[in-house]
Amino acid sequence: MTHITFEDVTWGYRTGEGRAVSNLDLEIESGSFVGITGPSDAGKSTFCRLIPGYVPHYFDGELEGSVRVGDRAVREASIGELAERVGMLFENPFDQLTGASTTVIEEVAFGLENLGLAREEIVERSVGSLRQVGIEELIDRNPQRLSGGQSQRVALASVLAMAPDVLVLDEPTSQLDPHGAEAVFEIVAGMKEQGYTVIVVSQRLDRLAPHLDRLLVMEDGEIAHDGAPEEVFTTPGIDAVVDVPQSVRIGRRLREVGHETDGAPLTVPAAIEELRPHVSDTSAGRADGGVTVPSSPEGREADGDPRVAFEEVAHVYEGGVEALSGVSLDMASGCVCLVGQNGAGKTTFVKHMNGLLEPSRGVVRVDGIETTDARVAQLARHVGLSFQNPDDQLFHDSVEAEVRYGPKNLKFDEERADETVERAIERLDLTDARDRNPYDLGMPRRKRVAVASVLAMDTETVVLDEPTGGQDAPGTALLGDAIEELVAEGKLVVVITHDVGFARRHADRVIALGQGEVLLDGNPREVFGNPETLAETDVDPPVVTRIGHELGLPTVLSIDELFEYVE
Amino acid sequence: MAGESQTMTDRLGGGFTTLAWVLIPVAVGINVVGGALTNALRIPLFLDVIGTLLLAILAGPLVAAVGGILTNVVLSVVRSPTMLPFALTQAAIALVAGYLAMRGWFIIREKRDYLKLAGVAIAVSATSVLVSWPILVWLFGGITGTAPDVVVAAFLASGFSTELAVLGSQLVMEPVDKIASVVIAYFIAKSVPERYRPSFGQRALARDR
Amino acid sequence: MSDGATAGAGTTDVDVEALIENADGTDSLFEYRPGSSVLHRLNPVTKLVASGALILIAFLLPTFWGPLALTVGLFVLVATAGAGVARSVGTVLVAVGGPLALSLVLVQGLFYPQNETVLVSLAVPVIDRLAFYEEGIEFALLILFRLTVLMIALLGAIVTTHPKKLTVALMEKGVSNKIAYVFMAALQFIPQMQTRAKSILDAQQARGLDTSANLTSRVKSYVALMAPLLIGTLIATETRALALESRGFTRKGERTYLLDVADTGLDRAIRWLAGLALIAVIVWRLVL
Repeated sequence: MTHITFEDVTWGYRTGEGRAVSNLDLEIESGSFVGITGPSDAGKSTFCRLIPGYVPHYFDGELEGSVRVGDRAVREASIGELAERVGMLFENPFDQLTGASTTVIEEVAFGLENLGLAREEIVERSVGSLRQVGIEELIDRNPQRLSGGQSQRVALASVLAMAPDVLVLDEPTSQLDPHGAEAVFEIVAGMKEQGYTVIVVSQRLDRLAPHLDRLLVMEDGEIAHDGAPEEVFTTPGIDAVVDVPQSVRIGRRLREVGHETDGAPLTVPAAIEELRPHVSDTSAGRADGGVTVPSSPEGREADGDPRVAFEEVAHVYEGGVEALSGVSLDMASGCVCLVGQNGAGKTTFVKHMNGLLEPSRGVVRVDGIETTDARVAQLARHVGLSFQNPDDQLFHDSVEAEVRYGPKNLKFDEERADETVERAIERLDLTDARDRNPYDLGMPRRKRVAVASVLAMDTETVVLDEPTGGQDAPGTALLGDAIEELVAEGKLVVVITHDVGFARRHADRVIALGQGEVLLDGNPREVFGNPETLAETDVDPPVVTRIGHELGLPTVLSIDELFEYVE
Repeated sequence: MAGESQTMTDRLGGGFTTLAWVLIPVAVGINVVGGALTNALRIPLFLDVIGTLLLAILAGPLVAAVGGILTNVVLSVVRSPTMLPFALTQAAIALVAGYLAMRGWFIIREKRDYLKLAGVAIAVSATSVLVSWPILVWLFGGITGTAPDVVVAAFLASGFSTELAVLGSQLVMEPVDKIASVVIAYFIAKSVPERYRPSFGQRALARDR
Repeated sequence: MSDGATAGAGTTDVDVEALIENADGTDSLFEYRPGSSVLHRLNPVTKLVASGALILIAFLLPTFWGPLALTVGLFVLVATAGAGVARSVGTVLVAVGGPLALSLVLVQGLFYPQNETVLVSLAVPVIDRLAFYEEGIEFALLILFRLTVLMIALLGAIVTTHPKKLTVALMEKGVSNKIAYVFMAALQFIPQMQTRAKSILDAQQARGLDTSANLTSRVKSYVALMAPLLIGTLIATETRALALESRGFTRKGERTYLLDVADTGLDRAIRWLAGLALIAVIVWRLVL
């Protein structure tokens, strides 16, 4: 059994500015399940790296204080030695694979081969860990061709095969779709019962909180809060740094409106149980549901000529996969969210908007131009598209130069470029980072740089692919505000997202794609009011909507709306 | 990077750290994919040593030589075994570029320093020509079934010996490609933020000193 | 074979070798064609040694007849390993050997410096007469068949050997596990990099990068495409290096392998034979 001790630990990277973490002083009981959350760049990853010895053995810098894992001082043990105690799962599901395996079993066996174990034992332990994470059937698949969720589980199996008793998981689900994230969470949640000590960093507390013994909130390299999740979530002012689960917010709200409650319900069923006695009889109160609820931003979509028009568009990839089949729709302005499972055709759809893909059948028009008649570089004046992975586009040595690349390509005159660049940088709150190298910023801020670099092109249509993935609470809010501002200027903003909470807050229109077809198309209330159809493409309505449905209420989109039914 | 013994290779600039080993496949990938990108952009050059040059700048001559040799081993698996002999050319380019990187020829602080880059480009071109020359003459008799055959044929038709015809064609084709490769590799390496440069690369490019 | 693994309630009734060799998706990754011929079952090192010896012999033989005989013999041997193997080898042979043969015959036939004896003379408009010479054609055939020996010998080894087995066999003969790692990783990495290069091209085009601009801006665009590719992979390598460290990549001491690669008496005999044949040819060429 392994007990982890931090004694007054301070660390700064040689190449970084200032201290990454300071004055960490805590103990982690063996067998406990500890969550860590907090804003981006708060030192969460550094905290993780201290336990398997990556800091100080791999990264250069100055370490003060001491970290002990069981009876081992991290400073004295090598990474290889610590790996027998501590397993680390990283954020990116693909980068942590060796890249040298042709099948999953080779991947899992890699570490065991290096330990020099007998062949029978290698096979037994590999198959055993695959079984432990529930992916035995993937044993002969090529690791490079798995989905993110599958790949992350292969990585976890490879770590488990080394038989550690401490697991450190650094944002294990932030790069996964909801389906993959769910699968990983399910396994992680069961790890405590199997006797592991688990330390997991995550922004998605909705799913994690019910399992935690303890939640740490890091801010500016220090531990700002430390306690049971219920305590931490009820600390005043916590909402500014932590994305408090909807169920907890509902519990708090119940208390605010004067009901006696048990405290903070960590799970959706618990929240429903607390709500149930207080919900008014819907049939009597408000038949047909609240038709007009003030807080929802519906009906902003302007009439007039559509900016983007799809007519019977189909796309068949080389090899015969039909990714879009006969999509017809117009988009004029407002915020349009595209939802749907991976492979539903969302990215294929948006790539048609700037000519990166040409329709196999049908026609796409952008501002009246048929996309097949123009080059991508010309359509870039009409449609700005920011992809999911910011690292696919960033290469300048300062944020400002990066943001200016698009306007320069479009040959904006100096004055206009200055103006649009300035506005984009401000809008995404990058002013203090404008002279820094984009790659010195964390992934969430790099994503904002990528979005800014597209906004600076000042196009009438803006397309963002998963802008909120991996963002902390303030980052998500900031992106939401930026989108609202663009919409207020009369632009069309198309957002691909798995984050239905984001869609519920900001969308004027939600389009659900499934297997290359439009399953649902309407305002958020219409779309999220149809959970059966959404299930066909693996989308769940937002938590608050689900709670409303469970309680037999009409489709509600926010806690405010929900509480209109609470007495 | 810790965790690796300090060996004789460390004196040659870049040790074979875990990071270096992980970088080698990256360089091979860049060599292969870089060549393919020239088609997408319709650039009339090969640019198939960019990965090797980048590795030379970021991780030193020996690591780069392994990457260079591996490139052609892999190419002979995925394309054609006739690429195998030119592993020697890749290795030689890696050693020369890596050695010059170690000697600070990629440190550019003022306009005048671009002459150093020109020097590297010339050295790399010369290495490429000198090493490929005997391979082409002895193993291929000068003809490889690719576009440069036309140039060799022209020299042969004008009465030059095979040796001179091959040398002539190499001198026509190689320098432009290799000079472009060196310049492009330098700018790509420069665009790598300092914290992601391996320690050899930090010294070889030494920006803030 | 995955059925055995998933259905089996027992722990280790997994035939790892069959599982790896017959895994789907290997076909597009590298040229390996599964099979159970003698050629498939030989130790990979044996295949490499034999290929190497044959290639050196082909380059030592003075006229094209020897390499021609070796070419034919090798192709027949490779074809016994199965139709799939023959097709794979044949495809590369035609794609690379075709243009090479054409180019060799044309250039050497017409312009080989030692050309003296006219073989055929064709009447051609504009330039009057085109003469192909015997010396040039013979030289062209010599080079051509030496290179076809090189191609068939190596391709035969590559196509009948799973890369994983090759690396295990090499490590058992003392090659470092790091060399084995970079070979496998590089092979696997290329398709991945190609996919990523495509994403980057898309992303930059969406920001107005014009692939039809003039040459200077296209060369600049090349940097805009390669830089994110390199930086992105460098970021990934940090994670990968840490993951490898944690999994004992740099650990000193004995290693074991998931796969068992047999080294039989037949293997040893073939390696000896290959060595002796090579020495014999060297002696013959030096004494003559």
